[in-house]
Amino acid sequence: MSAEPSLADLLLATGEGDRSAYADLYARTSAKLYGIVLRILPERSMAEDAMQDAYVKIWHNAAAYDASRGSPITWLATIARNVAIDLHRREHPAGRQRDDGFDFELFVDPAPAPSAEAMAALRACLDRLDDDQRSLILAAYLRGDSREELAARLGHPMGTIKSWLHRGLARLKACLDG
Amino acid sequence: MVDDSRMIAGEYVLGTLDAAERRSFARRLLTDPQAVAEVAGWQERLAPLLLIVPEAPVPVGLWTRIDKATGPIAANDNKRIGRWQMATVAAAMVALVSSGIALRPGPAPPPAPITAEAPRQGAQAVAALSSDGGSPALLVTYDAASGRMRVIPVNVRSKAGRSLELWVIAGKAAPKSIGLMPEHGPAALDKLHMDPGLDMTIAVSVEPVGGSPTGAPTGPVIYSGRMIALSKS
Repeated sequence: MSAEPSLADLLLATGEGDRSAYADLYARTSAKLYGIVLRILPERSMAEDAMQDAYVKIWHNAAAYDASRGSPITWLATIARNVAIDLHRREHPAGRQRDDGFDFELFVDPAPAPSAEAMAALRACLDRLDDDQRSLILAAYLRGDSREELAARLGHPMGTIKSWLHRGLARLKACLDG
Repeated sequence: MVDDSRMIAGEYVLGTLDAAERRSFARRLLTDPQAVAEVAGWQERLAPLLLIVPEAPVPVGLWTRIDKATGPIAANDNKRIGRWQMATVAAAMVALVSSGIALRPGPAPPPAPITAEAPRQGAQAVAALSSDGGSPALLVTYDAASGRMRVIPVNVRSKAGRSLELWVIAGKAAPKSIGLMPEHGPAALDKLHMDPGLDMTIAVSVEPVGGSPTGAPTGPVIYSGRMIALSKS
């Protein structure tokens, strides 16, 4: 077997309208994107709708992927996340009740990631945040929790949540950019 | 406040702004390249987080749906043209950058307008922008009474790794930035005050991602067109 095409190759070919490259791209990335979408939309039918929207968007925008702004998988993952969050907001405009706690420390993806370096830096910087700040940022970004949902879960006023988020983001930025 | 605007950009990417704040920031992204750059920065900082989420087995049959939704039948005969229309660089930016529905036309009901919308027939001037007088790439309409400008991409070609920025040149004045090209579909800008009596040209230049760093066009102008008054009122 000759060398597998890279995700960047597949994305490039998809941008040129190559359907078999697009099918390969789906085969190689859909499990990752589905994991991300399910975090935000645990309801299976909505998660599937979001996946469809995301891959349609990927098909239409592949030609404009810009390698200087991140790895292909990060680009694809971001599209899936944003589509899922939009759908979540449309379907649950008033937020939702979820009783699962913050379990983000348990995340370990054993697969070596192409953006391992960026990820390691981000993890190191997240580790330096206070527990509450870290949990809020993770719950918002990975689960799509709104400020109201975060306030309700932690039992703090929204103003407090906002200032924790700002402090967390500012420290994260200083750590990552510094 | 610089810090404050950075935090709003951070919260926008994080998704914790409330609906009104999000809409207002999304509108600002249409005209403020600095804010777009901040959003892109936050996106780059936070996106690697997504990769720590474990994979999940994909339901059988999902590919069939997606294949149909993007296949030649669904996408019509003029697929290539459609793809180019949508695949503007701005689209790539905003696909990455935005999780705000305000920027996209979609099935969601539009947010309640904060100001009354100017009637569509109130457009008093229109420009068809093309390269070298070819077929129009985008249409721009402007209603001086309401200060509302509409930007309607017709066949905009993307430039990989670049943003397309809109400029207005009024009379002999220096080009003034109007904003970045919308993701896809039409966009409206409000409170844009231009003297309809002046000779106005609208132009699109190729800029670094996020827009011209200098406030003046730095790249080649790929489309331009003169505003033509439709009616005297």
